[in-house]
Amino acid sequence: MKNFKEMTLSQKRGLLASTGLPMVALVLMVGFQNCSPGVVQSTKVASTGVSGPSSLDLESDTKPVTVTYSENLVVSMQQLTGVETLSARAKTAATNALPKISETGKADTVNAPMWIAVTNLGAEICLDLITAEKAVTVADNRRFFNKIDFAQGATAITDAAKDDLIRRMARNFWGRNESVAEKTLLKSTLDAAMTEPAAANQSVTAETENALLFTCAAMLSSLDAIRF
Amino acid sequence: MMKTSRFDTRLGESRSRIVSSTSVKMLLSMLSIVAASKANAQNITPIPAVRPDPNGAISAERTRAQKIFQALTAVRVPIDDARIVQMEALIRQGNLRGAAAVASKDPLFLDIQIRDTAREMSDRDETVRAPMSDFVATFIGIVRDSDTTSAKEMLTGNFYYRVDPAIIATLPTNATVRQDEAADILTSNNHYADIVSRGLSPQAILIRQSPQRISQRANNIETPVDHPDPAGLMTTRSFTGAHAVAGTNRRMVEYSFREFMCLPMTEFADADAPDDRVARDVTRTPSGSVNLYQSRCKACHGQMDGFRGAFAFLDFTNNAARIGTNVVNKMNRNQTEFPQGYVTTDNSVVNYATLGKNVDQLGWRSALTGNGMASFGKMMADSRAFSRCMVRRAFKRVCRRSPLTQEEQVVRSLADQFEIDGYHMRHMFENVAIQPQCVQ
Repeated sequence: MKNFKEMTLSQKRGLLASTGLPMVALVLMVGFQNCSPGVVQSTKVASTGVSGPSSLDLESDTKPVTVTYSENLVVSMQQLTGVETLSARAKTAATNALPKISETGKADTVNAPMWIAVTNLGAEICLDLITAEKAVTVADNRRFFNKIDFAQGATAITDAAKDDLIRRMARNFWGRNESVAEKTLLKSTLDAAMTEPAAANQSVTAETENALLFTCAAMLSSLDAIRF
Repeated sequence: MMKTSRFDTRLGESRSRIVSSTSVKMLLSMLSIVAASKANAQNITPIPAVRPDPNGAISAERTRAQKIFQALTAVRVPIDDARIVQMEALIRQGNLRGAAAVASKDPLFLDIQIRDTAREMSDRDETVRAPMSDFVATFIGIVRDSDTTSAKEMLTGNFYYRVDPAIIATLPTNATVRQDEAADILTSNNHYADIVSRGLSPQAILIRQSPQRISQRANNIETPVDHPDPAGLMTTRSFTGAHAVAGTNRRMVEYSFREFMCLPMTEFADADAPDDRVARDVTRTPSGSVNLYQSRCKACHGQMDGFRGAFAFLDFTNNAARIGTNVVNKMNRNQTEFPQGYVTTDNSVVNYATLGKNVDQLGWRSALTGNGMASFGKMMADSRAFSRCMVRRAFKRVCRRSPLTQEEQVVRSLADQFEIDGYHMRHMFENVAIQPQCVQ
């Protein structure tokens, strides 16, 4: 096999297309436990595939996979959650996210630090949401957590309450209802987390908030919540 | 030692990465927009607390409405948001333009999407991270006032946008917007930086100010005067600051074409163009080769130096644009490189980009000669390339990709419609968003 340096430009492109792009897709799909349909939206009418003769040019041939630019991501997350005023923590998370969030949203600019920053930001905004919803004393007036009793522990969250919570967040964050597989995955992961030992000196009610934070952060920082 | 919460463990590193950034100030300022007090009507669009409808159906029209809204505003909103529901109803009636208009009338369209479009055009890096400036504010103002302002005024207008003094008067003294004309608008960006740091919504607070102004400096004193040669965005402080500082003012030509015609030099270079305006600082024998000059250097300089005369009186010094009545030194520097070259003696403009492929891709439709930046601006504004460029910019922002080669006809059709609509920027963005190639 030829040394990479000895290859022609088209050969190098072919090699990168057949190895690099699938790797990017793999990292995106494995590195993120989302159930999104289709990661890279090609705009080519008759693409022969990423390793075919007309290799995919991410810059010109694809749409971005995420909301672009951290300022806009913050505004989007606020719109999705309805959190009007950000806490100092959330502002700090957004500031920290600034250099890590892709400007273009193209698949080849999405990386692990970006996902961590998005998750971090999503978690902080979720915490603001939980704080705001908890302050609403009449449960029916809450937008997301109207079946949650904040005075009880996490084990008091019923299966129906979990279903309702996931449905409401799926609609607002993802713009669609959750699939059965997604609901099962979210609930089983939450249940698994709840079987682990609780933090020392942690009240049972704090555990309820943590359970909500867990679910909210997972859903708000998923690809479907930030995708373009 | 306190144990880590089991949920924190599962969430992994969700809150642990903190990296300092030089851009921290900028984002913190921007964030104050969304955290701004509800008391002032000029703050950014309110964030509605949308109550999800767990049992409601999500139609294809609703989903499309959400996508169009996001395309036009660059912001994702809940599927049950009242704006999306309204757009869904219009799409069901077959009124796609009406649906798009709901999004384009939302403050987010101007405050986010149009702001970012302008930011990319405003500085040398062509990035959305560029600061708020007179260029960005004026661009937002022109789009906001599309009903009464033609986009051609981006290159011909004798005005700029600033914060309405009446609104500034209502702001608390510890959170005001600095507005000294010389100190905060003409020789610094203070006025526009304060829009961000005070958390104000640009679309709600900007007011058109005419005429354009520049600052004259004498004995270290800055005195604002009317701009003698205004050309819309091209003569804003930020654009001249980015491209007229130092150099030879060729960058003004290069970036005017990049931003308003969407053409980098390489795409309209033409070795057949005359070179009688090529200045003395351009060697005619690069690497000892006349042929290289004839085939490469001349292709850009022949046209660029013809246009460059427009900026003969312009300089950017001491943080401000300066326009005198004499040719600035940098126009004729390095005169020994090729002493027989063209000597700039006035601000005349000659358009040599009129041959070959440039006939079609530039599509000039007005006088090919003139004097000063205003005539250069008018030349560009009247061209077909300008209207197509605005469509391309909208397409790239709204559809999040550049138009493909096979979509050139779509671009041209949209540009034709843009011109028929009187260069109405908001309507043009709407037309782009409803294209099947853009949002499905």
